[in-house]
Amino acid sequence: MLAIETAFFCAELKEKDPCAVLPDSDPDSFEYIGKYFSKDMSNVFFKEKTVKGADAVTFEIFQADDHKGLYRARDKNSIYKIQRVSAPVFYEYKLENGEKE
Amino acid sequence: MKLLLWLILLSGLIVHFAKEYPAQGSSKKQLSHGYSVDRNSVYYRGYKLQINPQGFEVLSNHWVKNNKQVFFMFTPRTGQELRPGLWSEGEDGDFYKLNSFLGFFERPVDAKSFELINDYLAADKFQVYYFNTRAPVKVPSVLKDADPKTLDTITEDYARDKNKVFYTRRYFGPCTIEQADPKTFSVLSERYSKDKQYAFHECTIMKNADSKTFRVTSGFIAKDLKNVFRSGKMVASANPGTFKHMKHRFSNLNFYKDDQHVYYFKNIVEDADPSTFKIVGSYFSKDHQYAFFCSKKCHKIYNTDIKTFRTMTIHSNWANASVYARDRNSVFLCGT
Repeated sequence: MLAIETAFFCAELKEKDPCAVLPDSDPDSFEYIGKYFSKDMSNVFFKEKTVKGADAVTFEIFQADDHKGLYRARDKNSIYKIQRVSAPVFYEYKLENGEKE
Repeated sequence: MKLLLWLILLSGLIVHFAKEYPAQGSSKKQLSHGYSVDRNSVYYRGYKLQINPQGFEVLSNHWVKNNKQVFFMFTPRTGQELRPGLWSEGEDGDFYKLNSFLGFFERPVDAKSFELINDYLAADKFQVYYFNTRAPVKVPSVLKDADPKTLDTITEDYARDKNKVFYTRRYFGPCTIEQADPKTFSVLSERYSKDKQYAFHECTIMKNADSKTFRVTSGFIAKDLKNVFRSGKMVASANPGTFKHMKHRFSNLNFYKDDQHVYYFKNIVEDADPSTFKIVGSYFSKDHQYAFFCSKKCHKIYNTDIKTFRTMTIHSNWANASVYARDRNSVFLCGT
């Protein structure tokens, strides 16, 4: 991927410009990995939120159910269950670190 | 000799009883859709049902009747076998006795004159019944104000009697097209229709539309001489002469344009230039000046390098295809 200067996250909720700068993202190492996930050198992002505690180097998604909005991922330390809870305009998600499969 | 006489007598008795009392099941008659009937009982897939077999008839996979009653059967859910008890009144099973649904039916169903009209409609001499097994409410209901003597289907989706026109395609049940004149009524598409005075979208009268010049150009879109309509609603300030659907290679998106504007569903995409507007992906589009992010509505994305703005797709082993956009400087992730 070509080097970028900025990563934007676009959603319906933004007032004027639908796309806002993804907070705390490092453009040099930024990489989109699919669906709602992206990462840079030190963080993993789900939509515009940081997946707390996730190790960006070893983070990988191993199960995705778009219909339910449920994703399971792992890194060297934990297993993550990430759930997209849909509301009319905004999506929230829950993280459960250390969940045993 | 005595033994021989006894044997003859015994065999005679056996023949007599075999004739008089045939073995159970031998007189069972197989009917369609898993039903069978004998002199005393009706069976569904081998289960005996609490229903009188006199005049028993299978009308379709959902309707059966005998001399006195009409029964409606829901499609059993997968793997669910029907038991005889499901027929009993009040139990919320797969079979319902229509005659017990007095709340639904003002008068009992008349079995003698009960007939199916098509896949959605049935009628007896008193009233017309509507049912749609794909709809959320599967219990048959009465098509109000319909006259069973003159009711006739126009298409699969429309029916009329001498006074009224009915739309029967609707997911949530049928409706009456109140102002429609059955004599001049004509069906234009699955959802649009007109008579000599008005145009209709499903059951709603389109007061802004001119019936004489009203025509349907595609599934959602209809036009008259002055206006364009999408799903029965007027597309404000659209020019019917040049209004058309914008096609995209991969998907059927809801972009339209005329000589003045670009439209997303029925709203104008502000500041979009119809002559240079291009759909670049499911959520992203652009013209010569701006990029747009379109989800429920279309929004202008600021600070893009419009010449290099394009969508990209990545594939991974856990997700089929994920689309995002990028230009020379930035990536744009889609949050919907």
